[in-house]
Amino acid sequence: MLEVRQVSRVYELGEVPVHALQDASLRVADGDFIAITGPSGSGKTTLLQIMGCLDRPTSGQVLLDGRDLGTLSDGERTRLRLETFGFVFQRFHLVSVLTAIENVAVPLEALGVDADERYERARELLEQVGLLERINFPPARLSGGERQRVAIARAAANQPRFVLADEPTGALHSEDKARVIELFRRLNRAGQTIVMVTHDPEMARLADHRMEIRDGVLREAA
Amino acid sequence: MAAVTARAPWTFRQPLVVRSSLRRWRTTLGMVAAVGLALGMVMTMMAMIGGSTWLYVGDYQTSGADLYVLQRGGTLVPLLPGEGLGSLDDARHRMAQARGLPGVRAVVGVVAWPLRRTPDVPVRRLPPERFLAIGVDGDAGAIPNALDVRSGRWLERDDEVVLGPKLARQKGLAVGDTVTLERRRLAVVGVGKLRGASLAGDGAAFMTRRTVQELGHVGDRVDFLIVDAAEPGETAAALASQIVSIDVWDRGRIVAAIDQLMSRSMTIWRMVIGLALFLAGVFVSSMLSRSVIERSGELATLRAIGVPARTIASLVVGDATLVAVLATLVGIAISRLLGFWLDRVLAASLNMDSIYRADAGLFAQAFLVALVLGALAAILPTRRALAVEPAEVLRES
Repeated sequence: MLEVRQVSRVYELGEVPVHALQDASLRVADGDFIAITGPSGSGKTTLLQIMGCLDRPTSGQVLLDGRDLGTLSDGERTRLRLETFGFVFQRFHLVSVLTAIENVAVPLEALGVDADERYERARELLEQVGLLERINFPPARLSGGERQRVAIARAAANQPRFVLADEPTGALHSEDKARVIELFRRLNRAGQTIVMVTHDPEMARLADHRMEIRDGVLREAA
Repeated sequence: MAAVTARAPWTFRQPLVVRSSLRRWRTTLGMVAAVGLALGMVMTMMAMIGGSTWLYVGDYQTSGADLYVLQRGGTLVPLLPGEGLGSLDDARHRMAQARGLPGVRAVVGVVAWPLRRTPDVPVRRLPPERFLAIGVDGDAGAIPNALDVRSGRWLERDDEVVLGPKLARQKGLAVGDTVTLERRRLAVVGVGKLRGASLAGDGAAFMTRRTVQELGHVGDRVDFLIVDAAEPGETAAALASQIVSIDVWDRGRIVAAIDQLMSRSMTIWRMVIGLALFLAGVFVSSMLSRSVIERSGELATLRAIGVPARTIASLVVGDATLVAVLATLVGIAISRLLGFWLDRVLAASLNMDSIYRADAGLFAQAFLVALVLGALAAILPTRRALAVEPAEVLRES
């Protein structure tokens, strides 16, 4: 269980405080598929980053199985991101000098998985996302949809409990979008917990629960 | 995890830092060229320092002679004006004393004296040409590696002369020629020298001590004795206690004195070397910093997905190491080319055998310098890379 308890995040923009998130609360149970929608700048990404230990809240708590993540050191948070969370970003964020299979294998290498085993696992994941023929392609030779599928495979590589996706279809054409939607469906059916922020109503409809965020305030979607 | 059915290719097996650094070779080219050039210049300067030093210490290092006995207060390596060898009078007696000591294998007496070269046909109004004659008393061939005979043979009789290589080259003389010194004709039987007989041995004419005594009207004296001993330490102590008013120099003392002499003239070289390395370090550091800024998105992604800080740091250090390794290779190539040119063109024009002395040790030193330089240059960029906040960078992008 991942629980967000009355989390606020305030940024200092010069001398002006900006309330990106105000008293947000959310419970994510294992196996959930939650979509968080809202306009640009409403605090969606901030919430996702706080949930994924990429950012710290100004106030409030994030609890993982009852443990306050705010008490963890930077090193422990890094380890937690590696083992417990998988991230999918709008702009894919693949490492340009690595091939598709090497990008997928990065988290496995960080975990210390043996080369043959991580190769096999990454290959299998790329096969699942339909990119077996392109495993040795660098990101520059892949289309946007293909890159996002590589990013999804990378997010799933360590079999994390939670996949946190930030606008995963925001930069994709409709055909690529459909494939990505299908991949998230499949991941969820396989038992993966998914929290996704999106503008896209089609993506949001996939979710079991829909939340809406406006001006930093999180509530159940209508 | 899945059962293993396929073997990972070789490149896949390499650590992330190796793959990342090698595939970024284009961005490191500029750094490699600049640092390689700097290292090449530094190695060449170090090789020239080595060459200059070897001109003086080489003979002492190569010769098997262990001890040099000279007048108390005299010096083999004059550092100040007025300093000199001095001389040992009553030379025959002193040499006999030294030869009589236990453990002494060979003793050679050496005396240097200027002699006039007299033309075979008298020529008026020409200033007399002077040769530095070095008289040798004793069997120099008994001391291992003491003789450096390039052609012909060493002295056997009093009417023979062996010319130093530089002297022979300058005067156009070779084995089989004759030289007339102080109106005595001497047959050139060899080109070479007695190592350790003089810092200017390459430009001297070697003959028996008796010949120098006769031609230069030199009494029973030598400048110093060269001693080969089984136990140099014990022999040095025995020499000092049994022969009055002498100093005994061993190889280490000579080399130290020459190093002291050289260090004065090498200060400016060392400053240039330091400056070149400093500038190369600043250049690499700024290039690595720029590379880190350009890659901040990727570094942030790696941090976001849980790659540990030490791996992120190693990506920058890996680039610096790659630059150090490649720059050393480039530097060696540049230095060897410059060394070839220096020896072929410059050394020949200066009547020297070689002014470039580089060996594996020098290149290993240069590699270490490059590694240290790379490590220092990587400090700031690495800190910059570790300071990348994934949340900030990913939000911006």
